[in-house]
Amino acid sequence: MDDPRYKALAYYERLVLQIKQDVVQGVRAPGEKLPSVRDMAKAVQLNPNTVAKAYKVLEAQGVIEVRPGLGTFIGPQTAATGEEKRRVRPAFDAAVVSAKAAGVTHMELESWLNAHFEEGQA
Amino acid sequence: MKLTAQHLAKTIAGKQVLSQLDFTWQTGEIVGLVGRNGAGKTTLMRTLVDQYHADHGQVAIDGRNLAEAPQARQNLIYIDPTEVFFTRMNLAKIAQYYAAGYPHFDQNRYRSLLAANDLPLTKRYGELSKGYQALVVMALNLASAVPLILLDEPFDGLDLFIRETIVKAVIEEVAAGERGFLIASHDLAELDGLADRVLFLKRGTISRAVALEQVRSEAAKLQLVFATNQIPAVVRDRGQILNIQGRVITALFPAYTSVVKAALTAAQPVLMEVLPLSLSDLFRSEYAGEVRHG
Repeated sequence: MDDPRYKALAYYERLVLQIKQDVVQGVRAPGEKLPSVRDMAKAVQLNPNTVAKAYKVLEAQGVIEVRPGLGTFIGPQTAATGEEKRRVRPAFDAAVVSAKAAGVTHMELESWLNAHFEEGQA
Repeated sequence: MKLTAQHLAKTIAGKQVLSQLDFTWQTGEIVGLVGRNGAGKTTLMRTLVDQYHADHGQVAIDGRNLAEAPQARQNLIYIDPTEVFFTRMNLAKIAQYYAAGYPHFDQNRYRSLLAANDLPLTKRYGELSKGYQALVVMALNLASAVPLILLDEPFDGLDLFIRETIVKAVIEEVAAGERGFLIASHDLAELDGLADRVLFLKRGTISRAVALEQVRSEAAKLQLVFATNQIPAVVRDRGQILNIQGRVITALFPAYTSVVKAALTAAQPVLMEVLPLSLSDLFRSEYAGEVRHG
């Protein structure tokens, strides 16, 4: 939650990114149970409605799944679906265009990308 | 359960402290109440529980006017930590008084809350440190099994661990959806993230109510530097300047749309960086005028 890159975002968006990052880094494994909204809210000291909103977003994006009566679980992280890829592509393109307009070179972009992929493997 | 305050007004010693004050608050919701010192936060809380009779207006719970149905007040609890009647009582005795006033008072819950914080029932309230007194007040609030709980400066002067204990208790109670909290506090960092909505009290009335998460997804706080000393029109028209230091402008844009973003980019800033938007920034923008005029 304290990642400085996400500080300008709403709390629910930060929590969404944090959980995605946990999944990407293997901190949370597919099929693993997530804390209930209440326990997560207490752990991160956020309003429960904010946590519930983050969970809803993650569920809609297929990152987590709610099994009625059992709780919330990290979804199976098979290769991203085509739909999911199509959804994130415009945001990526927009970021690259802005970066290029700001004078970021191909090399720099590549090193930024690499930094993301190396994260968690260290 | 829903509390509705309509057109509340209260004059104390010739000074109009509250006027035309309206708001609603319901269970499942954490509402923050902020304002400058002396803005009337405590007066509002006292008026809500009828410790002060309102001069005008009414407070209703689920449509029942508390002036006509005073028994509905049992759905509300307000313990002013600075003005308690039980300073000289021991913790067991205090619970008897609250059990008399609140029929669903849960003695077991009270005892277990105190035990969790190593508070013996034989201690007198007045002998306890400020932090432990705050925990006793919270234990009374929770054990009273009341849906709508008013907290007045619940974090004031407390250490990190006691603050966390109180925040977690609030979250725990609200998550079940059966309780709501109205929290008056100067601790904006603590309210940020905790409150669903924050009410700004100014000149005796609610001047602004903000849903923080919504504001954060619509607004932006930017740090801007332009090549010339001229501040572009878009900054003044669409933003509120929070601070200027040399050529570095910090501004809040309540509606940070793609149009605003494009206009700012067109002004060719040397630096344009998005900063975290906190409740303190909104507080600053709301009360900035009052500071200048003393």
